Amino acid sequence: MIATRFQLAVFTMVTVISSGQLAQAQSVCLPAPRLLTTMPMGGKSGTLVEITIAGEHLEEAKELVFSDARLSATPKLNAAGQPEANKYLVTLAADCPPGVYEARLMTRLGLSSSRVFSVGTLTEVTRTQPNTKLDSALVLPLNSVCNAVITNRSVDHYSFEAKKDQRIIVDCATRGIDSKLDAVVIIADAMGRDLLVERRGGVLDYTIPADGKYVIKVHELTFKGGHDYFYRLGLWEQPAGTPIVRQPGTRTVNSFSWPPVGLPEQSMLAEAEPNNDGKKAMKITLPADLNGTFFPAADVDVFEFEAKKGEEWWVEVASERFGLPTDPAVIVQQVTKTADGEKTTDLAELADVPSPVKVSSNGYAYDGPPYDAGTADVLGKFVVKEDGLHRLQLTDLFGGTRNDVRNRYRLLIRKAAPDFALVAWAQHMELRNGDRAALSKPMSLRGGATMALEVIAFRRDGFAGDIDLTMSGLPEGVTAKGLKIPAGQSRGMIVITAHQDAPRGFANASFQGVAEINGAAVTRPVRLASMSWPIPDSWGEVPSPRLITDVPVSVGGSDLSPLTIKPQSTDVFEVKAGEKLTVPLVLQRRSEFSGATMQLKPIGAGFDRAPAFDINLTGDTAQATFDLAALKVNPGDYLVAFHGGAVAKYRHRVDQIAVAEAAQKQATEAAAAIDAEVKKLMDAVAAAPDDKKPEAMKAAEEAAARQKAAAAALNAANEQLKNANNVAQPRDIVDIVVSEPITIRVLPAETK
Amino acid sequence: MRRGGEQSLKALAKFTDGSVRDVTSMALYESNDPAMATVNSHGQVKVLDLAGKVSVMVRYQGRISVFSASVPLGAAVDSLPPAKNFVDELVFANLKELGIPPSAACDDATFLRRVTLDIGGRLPTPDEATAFLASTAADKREKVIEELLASPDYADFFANKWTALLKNRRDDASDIISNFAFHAWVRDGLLANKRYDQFVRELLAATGTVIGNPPVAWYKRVKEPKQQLEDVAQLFLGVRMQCAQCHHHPFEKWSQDDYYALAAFFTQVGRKPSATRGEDLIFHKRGVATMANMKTGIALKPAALGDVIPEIAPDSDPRLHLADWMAGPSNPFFAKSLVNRYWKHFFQRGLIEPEDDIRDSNPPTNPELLAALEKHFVSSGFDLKELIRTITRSQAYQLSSTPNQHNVVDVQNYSRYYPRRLQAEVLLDAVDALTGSQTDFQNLPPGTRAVALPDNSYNRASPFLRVFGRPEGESVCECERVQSSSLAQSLHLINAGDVKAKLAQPGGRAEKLASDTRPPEERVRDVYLAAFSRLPKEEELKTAVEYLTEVRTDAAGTTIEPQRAGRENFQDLLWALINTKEFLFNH
Repeated sequence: MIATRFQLAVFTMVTVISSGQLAQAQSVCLPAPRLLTTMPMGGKSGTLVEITIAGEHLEEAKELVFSDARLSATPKLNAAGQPEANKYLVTLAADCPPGVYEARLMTRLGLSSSRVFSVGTLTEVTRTQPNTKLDSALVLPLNSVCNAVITNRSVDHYSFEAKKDQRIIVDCATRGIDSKLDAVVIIADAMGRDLLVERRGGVLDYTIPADGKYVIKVHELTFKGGHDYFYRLGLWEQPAGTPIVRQPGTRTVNSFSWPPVGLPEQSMLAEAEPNNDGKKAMKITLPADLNGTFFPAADVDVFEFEAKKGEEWWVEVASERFGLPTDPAVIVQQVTKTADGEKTTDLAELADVPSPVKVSSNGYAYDGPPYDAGTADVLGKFVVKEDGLHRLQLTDLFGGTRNDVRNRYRLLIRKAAPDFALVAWAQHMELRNGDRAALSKPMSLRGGATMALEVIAFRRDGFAGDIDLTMSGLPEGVTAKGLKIPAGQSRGMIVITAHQDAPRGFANASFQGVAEINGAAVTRPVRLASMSWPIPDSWGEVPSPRLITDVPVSVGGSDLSPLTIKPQSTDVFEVKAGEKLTVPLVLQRRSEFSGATMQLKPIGAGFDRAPAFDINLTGDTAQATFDLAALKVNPGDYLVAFHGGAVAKYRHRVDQIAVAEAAQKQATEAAAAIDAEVKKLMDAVAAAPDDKKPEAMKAAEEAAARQKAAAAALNAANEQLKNANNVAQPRDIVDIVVSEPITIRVLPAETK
Repeated sequence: MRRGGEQSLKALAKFTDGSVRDVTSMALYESNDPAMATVNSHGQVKVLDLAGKVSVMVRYQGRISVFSASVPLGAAVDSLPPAKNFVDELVFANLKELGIPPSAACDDATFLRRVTLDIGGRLPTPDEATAFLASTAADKREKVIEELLASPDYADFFANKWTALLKNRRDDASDIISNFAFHAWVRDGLLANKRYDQFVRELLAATGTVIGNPPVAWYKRVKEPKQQLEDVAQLFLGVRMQCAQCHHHPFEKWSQDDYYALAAFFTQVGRKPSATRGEDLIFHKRGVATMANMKTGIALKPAALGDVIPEIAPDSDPRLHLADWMAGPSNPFFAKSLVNRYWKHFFQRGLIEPEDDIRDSNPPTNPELLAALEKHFVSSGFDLKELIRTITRSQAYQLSSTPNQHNVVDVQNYSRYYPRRLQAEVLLDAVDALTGSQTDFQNLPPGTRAVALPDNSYNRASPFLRVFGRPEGESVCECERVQSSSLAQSLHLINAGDVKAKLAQPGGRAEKLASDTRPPEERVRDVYLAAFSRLPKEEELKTAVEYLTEVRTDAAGTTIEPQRAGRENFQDLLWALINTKEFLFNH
């Protein structure tokens, strides 16, 4: 059970805090490289843009890479030809289409987490001066996008000139480009008096009432600010009557399950209003593929069709998965004519698709993954009981009072088309007040480390078979094995291991699920989800998960995992059904640990019901025992791994101590040398005859100046060493430890 | 009845068997205004010295009846100002009937200050006052009303009023997002002049998440169907249903069935956990709405205060049907309750008092006026700005607060403007504006005014707001706002550290005036314009200038250097003006 997985870690942490022996409680997750901000956050295609980056653990970062080859970057060089810290020149190819792309930095710890980089077509502006007052409003040209960051407790001001009857769009990209900003965007008159306000992430569509100057104000909903609260403010003229295309943004996690493979991009049939009740139902024939809107407020859309007894139809609605704030619900009814009219009988009531696995609550600790693979959209079936007329009614449970024509949907009624969609995320840790830091963990591996990702299946139209998971195209020294999603279940894992000697490198891997459907092998991609930000306190800040567009796997090549657990042998372990199997494990420690033992829990279909067991963290070997009689697994091959939580006394950047020591030694020697030289020169001054004294004095003074510089250099070297030692002080960090997987072959029990 | 007169009431009970019995000695009697009329246990009504309308409620065995009396003053009413609209016609008709001559119209300075405080929740700026006083435009009063209604100040001020009633309360630090979103939703709706029926509809039938649809936040505060019906009835219908939960309402016709049938509208409110701790998603849960009467156990379908609601399909959100019923043109409560509430905002006294206790046994003082306002509000499309426009354009609103020899005791017929202490937030903003010292509110941008505060959490750090009665968002009743005066308030203004600090604010008005090189007379004029929106009278100017030019000595008798003396003198002047009734009151 997930709920008990890290009891030991939780327990350990509690005792550490209560003992008060360590002022610094343990933190969660080993240092991981994270790119957190870029300024600006995008550019216009066909241009060269200088950006400044910031993040966590980006030391020795050189290469800035993107999820699309049409974007490339080089470090910015200063006049002396040296790279300027944290500055890059990004080339946006002319054929790079508008959209959001992932930007990452290659660091000593591997490829960083991603930050969105936007490509657009408008003129780019970057705010450089404060504009928090009306009289310091930044003048924006029409058809431009401004990159800026909100200051805490402030309102940013912009101004623009427009003519009467011009239709002006103001669209502020925030959450969709990984910002923490919940923006309030206001169009005001030249005096700053509000005219039109948008606070829900919508777009401002304003027809100018009179020629003149107008002001745009931007602030955070609760007036928070800081470098995490960045935005791209788009301002453009929109021809009357044309649809608005908003600035691009990332996709929500649950959109991984849409669309079904092979669905045409556009449906051929549109809902025809009025169709608000049975009397005005829109007549359709099955199968059907329709688009429509939940408009106006409290809209009810009714469709009427003939169906035959025994037919089974699947209904799928997409709306929330378009990123809309809707909650579709479907009622299917059979209509029977009676003497005084008609009678309707409910056949099916279809609403939310629940997450296939339990999602974490907002409680004190995780009790499930904090990602939701379910949706408020609809997927379900109905079976026709009698030949005749039927009606399907579609409503938005959130639409009672909202008048927004943008709340659209797509309705599919089809015969069963069994299929699946997959999503994966870094395995979570059940710890105090959900430290979401662990969840923005990139797949950047330390040598000797194994990382696990949970893979969740969204099963369509009754598909219940096994789904095998594969990952290929990995960097050198990295292997991945999939712990399949068993038939009828929704959860599997992929386990990725970097060899201890794996060199620094990265690759965009191919991550897929394979299943047999109707006798044919069907392959579907696995989409990755991640948190946009490491959030230490999820009660104070709501995490924002999203899909990422690629599957970057990397190895840092300079830091090793504190603990490697692997089987003693890579052979297949054989066991007869009903007997016991002992698997010898090898522990390779590269760090001290807090606590003498850790708990390991088996994972992998068939064996994940086996009980957890303790291993000795001071020993070099351990063993896992399986009682096949209790597990009752069928004969066959099984892939099994072990995982648990351990508190390492992690020493960050130990390598820097040697570097600093060498520098200090050099500085000490240099200082000693110059001291001796100065002493010698001063003696020479004392000994020199009067006419030579000025000359000797000059030489001594020059040497004294160098002595001063050498002393300063020594101080700096001492400081550097002190810092290196401080950074490398052992710190208690709890992280997930996953073993390399083993294959167990279960043989049929011997018949007597 | 004449003043001082007496009247015996007789209570006759008609029984179902057709018999009639005199129950005078067994009935209960209650005057709605004991200052106007008293009644004893035998039904003997004695009218006192005040003129106006008074009623006595008679109760017997769950039945009620009302005796209403008009008590004229009887003075000659022969110089009424010309009526500007129907409000004037009906107010003046009532005054004529009662023989209460109204005060004269107020002067321009008083009007500007009054209407700016009442609509914008702030003092006029000295520039606004100067321009208004200098203007000779015949429609300058109408123009200033329009400017105020179009300004964000109006939206801020009325959002402040509504959000307290809608319990936008910070109980936990994590409430901040929903509170800001909810306050902003109210404020933006007022700014855009959203129809009032639409505002209530969006609130009542809110679904979704707080961020996506901020009125959902109301369901975070008010969780149970019973609480929901009680709040909705009191706030939007002016009906207090609380008593009817356990027994038949003692002063009203409302039964327990009425109570639970109203609660039934809220029984299909579904909740799902959201990503935000402590917040639910709200949706309509499919099903037939019913609520069981606590006593009889009978499941009741939704019914709205005696009106039958047509069958509600399981797929249809009953709350939308309640909103439809409310906004119906002949709804007897919805528009009445709102116009009475707003009337009270501008006239200090509701046509029905308390404003959220509308019942047959509590009749309005001017029923024709209430009905006309109600009709106008409905026909305008529930237009709140139009209602305010109608009220503030009226001559009745623009009467002077200075009484004449007849109307000094009138407190219910609007024969003069009834002065009222500025409410806590407005007063703090006014002190800030006069002293040139802006109060800093935690985590809000510098310059945020107290009337624009999104919730009650700022009260904790502001003794000023607490002592002047800023509500905590605990109650749906306007009475939670304390408008009475207290010794603590007087002491606060005279002596409190925050007021002193504002007077001595570096770069504040006192310091600026002290270093201003213009003659003292001009500087005193500035101060009066800022405080009272008027120029000082001759004697006020003389007194102030004399004080400012006096040689100042310290406790030891040493002459204080002129720059410091000038600064302190201006601080004294501002302090003295802050402590005048003219400053503290809207008049």
